Amino acid sequence: MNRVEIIELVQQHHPHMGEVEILKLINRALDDFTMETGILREYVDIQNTVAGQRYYTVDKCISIINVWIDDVLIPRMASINAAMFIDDDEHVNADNTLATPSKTSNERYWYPIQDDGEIKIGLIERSTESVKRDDKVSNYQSISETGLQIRVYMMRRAVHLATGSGSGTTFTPEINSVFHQALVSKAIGEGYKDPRNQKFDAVQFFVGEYEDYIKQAKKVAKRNAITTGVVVPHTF
Amino acid sequence: MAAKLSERIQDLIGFDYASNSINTENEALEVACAEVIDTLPEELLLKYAVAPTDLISGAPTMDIRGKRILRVSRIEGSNDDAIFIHRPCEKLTIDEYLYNTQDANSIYLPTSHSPVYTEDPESAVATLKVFPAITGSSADTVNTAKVWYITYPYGDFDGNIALDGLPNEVEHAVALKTASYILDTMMSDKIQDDEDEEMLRMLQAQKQNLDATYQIEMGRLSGEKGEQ
Repeated sequence: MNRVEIIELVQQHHPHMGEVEILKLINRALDDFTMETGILREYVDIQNTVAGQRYYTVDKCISIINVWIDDVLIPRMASINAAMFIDDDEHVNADNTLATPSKTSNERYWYPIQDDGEIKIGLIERSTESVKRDDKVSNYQSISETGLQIRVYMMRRAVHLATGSGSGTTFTPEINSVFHQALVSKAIGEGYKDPRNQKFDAVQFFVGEYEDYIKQAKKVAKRNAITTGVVVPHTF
Repeated sequence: MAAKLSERIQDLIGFDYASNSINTENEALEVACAEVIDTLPEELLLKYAVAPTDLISGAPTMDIRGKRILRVSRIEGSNDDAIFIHRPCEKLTIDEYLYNTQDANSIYLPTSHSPVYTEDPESAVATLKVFPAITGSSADTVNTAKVWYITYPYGDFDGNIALDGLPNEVEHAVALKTASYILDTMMSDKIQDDEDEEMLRMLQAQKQNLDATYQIEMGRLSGEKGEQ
């Protein structure tokens, strides 16, 4: 389903609504659907490392599942407090940043932080020479090499549909087409809350339909593209 | 050969347009036309409408004084691919138009997919404006618009046998309504000047008959079976 089809389907119920109003409802539904179900997952190369830079923004991220540096899967640091014990403050106010590490270690870790409404990953290495400040010692330093590819596997929000678009992700919602009808149902349901066309029984019906799609999508997301076997009972 | 409007009226009530015996015979015809045009369904008027006016970047607005706007559509698509999608424009009042089109963050902001038009009286000339702005430079291309309309007939046109934008079938209704207005004037003369009660009653009876016939005629034209 594309932008035009979606608009026309909503306008069958709410002909007074224009493109912008409908797309805002659809985009809100798209955010809600991806957030609730975690169905939209993607491997994405976010950028290359920069020596001494600890934090990297992951656009549209809901949660990070795995991180690769230079195509090598690296583990998540279990304790964010340990990782941030002596922090590189570049992500807040870079007035006291740590010096770029002079030695390199391949024992790398990542950890997520939520900062300023976005998710960032911190990339650290086990330090071969301790990082010291204010009589405290940390065993972790910011990543020390430049030009290593950072790849992230994550659940993310979809790109919003845009007015006037004719192709790409701003024209066709990024989620599986099986669930495009969910967005339409949600937008129609929300439209019926509007005093211009208020029908609470219709709200219940369409939002209920949307919630059924959510359940279905959660199952699909959990299955993770794997079909499990069936235990068949036998009498011995 | 079709009859002139003045001949139709003369046949109905015996009034001679050439006689100039009353002051407002042209106005009676204008008002009757306006009333008929305002009452007829847009679908019927669209069918017989004159060629639409194209709004292009060189002439993005239209003077709509004395016109009834039937439809406005704005074209989106692709000139290169020869895709020309006519999106019907929603009519907004001038205050809605000024509000909705100026705030880019508004949920009501019109777009090429849901364009709007308004009738703007700002410069004392009622002007039709379309949003999003008309930027196409030649007719029937992307980002231009088309306006279908009918002009209310004006002036001395009793000698016409047809009216632009109206089907022939409607002319009888126009003649009936005009005749009814002229009878009003003639009845006034009988009351004010002649004090002739017998003539007055006869004119009243004729007017009642004309009004009833007019109602039947308009019902036929406006009803389900009215589309000729």
